[in-house]
Amino acid sequence: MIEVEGLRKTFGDLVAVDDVSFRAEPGAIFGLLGPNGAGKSTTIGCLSGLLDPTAGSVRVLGHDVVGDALAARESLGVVPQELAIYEDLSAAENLRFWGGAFHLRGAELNRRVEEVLERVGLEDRAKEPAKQFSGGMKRRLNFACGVLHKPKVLLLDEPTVGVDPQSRVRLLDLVREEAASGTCVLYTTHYMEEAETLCDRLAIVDHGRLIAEGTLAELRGMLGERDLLRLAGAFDPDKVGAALAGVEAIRGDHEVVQSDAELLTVSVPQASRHLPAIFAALDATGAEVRETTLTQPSLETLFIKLTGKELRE
Amino acid sequence: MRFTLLTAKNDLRRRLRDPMSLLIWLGIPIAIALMIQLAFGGSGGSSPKAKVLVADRDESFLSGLLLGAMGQQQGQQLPFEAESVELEEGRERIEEGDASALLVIPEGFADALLREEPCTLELVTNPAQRILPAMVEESLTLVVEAVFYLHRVFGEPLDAMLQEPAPGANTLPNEEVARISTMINSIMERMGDALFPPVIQLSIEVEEEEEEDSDMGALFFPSILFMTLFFLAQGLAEDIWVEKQQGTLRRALTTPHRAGEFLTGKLLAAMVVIAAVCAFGLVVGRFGFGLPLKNLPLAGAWAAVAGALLTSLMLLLQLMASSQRVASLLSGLVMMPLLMIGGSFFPFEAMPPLLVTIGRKTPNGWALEQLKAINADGYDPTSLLASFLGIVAISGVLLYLCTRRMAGAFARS
Repeated sequence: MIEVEGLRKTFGDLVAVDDVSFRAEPGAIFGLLGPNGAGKSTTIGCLSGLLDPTAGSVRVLGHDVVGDALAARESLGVVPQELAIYEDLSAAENLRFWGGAFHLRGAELNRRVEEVLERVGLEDRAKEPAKQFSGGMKRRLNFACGVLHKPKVLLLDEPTVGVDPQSRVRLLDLVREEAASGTCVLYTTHYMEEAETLCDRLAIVDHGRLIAEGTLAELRGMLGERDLLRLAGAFDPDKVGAALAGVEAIRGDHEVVQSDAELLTVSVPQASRHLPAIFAALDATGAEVRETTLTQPSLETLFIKLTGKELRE
Repeated sequence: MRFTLLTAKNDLRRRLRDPMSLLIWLGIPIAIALMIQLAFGGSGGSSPKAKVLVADRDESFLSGLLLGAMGQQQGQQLPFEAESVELEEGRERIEEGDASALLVIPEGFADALLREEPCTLELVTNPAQRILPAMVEESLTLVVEAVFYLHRVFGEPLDAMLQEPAPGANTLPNEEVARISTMINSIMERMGDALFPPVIQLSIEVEEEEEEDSDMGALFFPSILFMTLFFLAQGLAEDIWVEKQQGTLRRALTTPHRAGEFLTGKLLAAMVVIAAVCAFGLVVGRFGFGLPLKNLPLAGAWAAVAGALLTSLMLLLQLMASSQRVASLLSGLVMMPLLMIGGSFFPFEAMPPLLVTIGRKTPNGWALEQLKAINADGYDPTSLLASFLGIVAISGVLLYLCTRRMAGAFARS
């Protein structure tokens, strides 16, 4: 398991990770969700021993990653965001080297190499230099290098970035298989859909801080099962609030998240049922609606609610 | 230790996947040596000889003797060939640059010599040449001195021989010839004890030795080998940027091993490559360029250890830099002066004494001198062992600094 307590990492004046705490359990996928620059990779760096925490503690299977680094790393498998393979060596040679680095040898090493190559679908290309592989194949080899030694804790740092849809599906399946075999998986991503479909438990990070944590159901509960209604057009911000308050069906059960002359965002339960009443109330204020977007409760809407901005911004 | 060997093996495998680089490294010493060989006129040929024109205006017995002395030395010690010419022809040919020098033996040379009066030999040199005329001047001084001493010993009989015959006679009378012969014989008997000492015998023992075909290529080859070592060290050290850029360095640092094990493995692989290139270079140097080579395995081992030191140094420079471009500039700034002053661009034999003194104190200059001593079988085993240990110790310190830097700011940036 992974135990992170009050983790803080600074680079000069820049605070990359600020007082982050969480706990990831074996046999489950723990997701770190946040936009680029939120501090996800820095957290992975501290977990894998590449970066020394400025404050706080990180333990892997009870071993402190600073004070007992080698023992902590024995249990770790890392799949970094950037590729980490020898391009001039074949897939099998890459796996043999990294497997050897984790004490695999002889028949056991050969067996594991064959197994993993088959799992990632590279058994037919085992002897080809990695530089001849497509981007997706390299990603799969990168993943294989991280799981070859059957680590008890697997750190995956945005492993699907730049991957074609077919390879992405395959990679996600592989991650699920790892968790199903009892591995504690920490998965970072900025893709909402991946996090929603893959992770058993999630932490949302922004600007180095952990702003929400829980299961997907718990996080959705924070939204109160409200839909997010986004309207684009021409509005009078001073009249919009009063007009919506006058709609009897949603009175007291809605929240204006954002309101300006061109955009109106409202959090409201079962929004589709109340659309005619909402449009009528806005029409009465002289507003003109040109585009309507209705989003059901999701991590995206939660992120917007918590930070006031979209995840991809 | 196992991870170190694993890393070394992996690095060597990667080197073999890039045979072009290996061929280039192997070819560097040979290519440079061949260029130098060509530039200096090939191997094993005769030494360059100056052409000296001689205008004998005296045409006496003694001037003939001088010419003969010059002629007898042809093909032996004197570095020139003499050719008799008329004075005008000689001056024209010197102006055309057809010879290195013109020696003019003036009229009255023999008389002046016999009367012990001052006499001047005129030597006109070719202004377009510098070295060959100087060699002629030096050599002629020796010949003139030889003629002077000949006169000091045999002056009286020579004087008698040069007397004009009696009127009506073409030659000297028999009595006079007999008298001169007796005079010469008497002189030889007097000098016999000095010229032919019967008691002292000179025993000459010639040690059996392989004939060394030492030439410009052989002179330059050890220097070229160290220049190659430097380039090789830089090339091998730059691989740390490849590891960084392809992400394998960061992955290696997440394995349950110390960073030093990984770096030591890379250095071991570098030493194997360096040893292979050096062994190849030394063998080519021996058989292709006549390089004196007594202890090939020891020389190869020394070059490999020296190469490891240079690689560690280059590696530290690479790791200190903020980018690969800065690393190239930095290593170039350090490498070029060391190459120039450390006897790698120009052999110490061709450098001014002050620079040689400084150059022998540079790491590569010092290592180069040791290699030459090993090649010539002129090394002191105790001193060499101490040098080996010294290099290992310094390399160890450099490796420690490299490890600190690599696992720190370098891998994280």
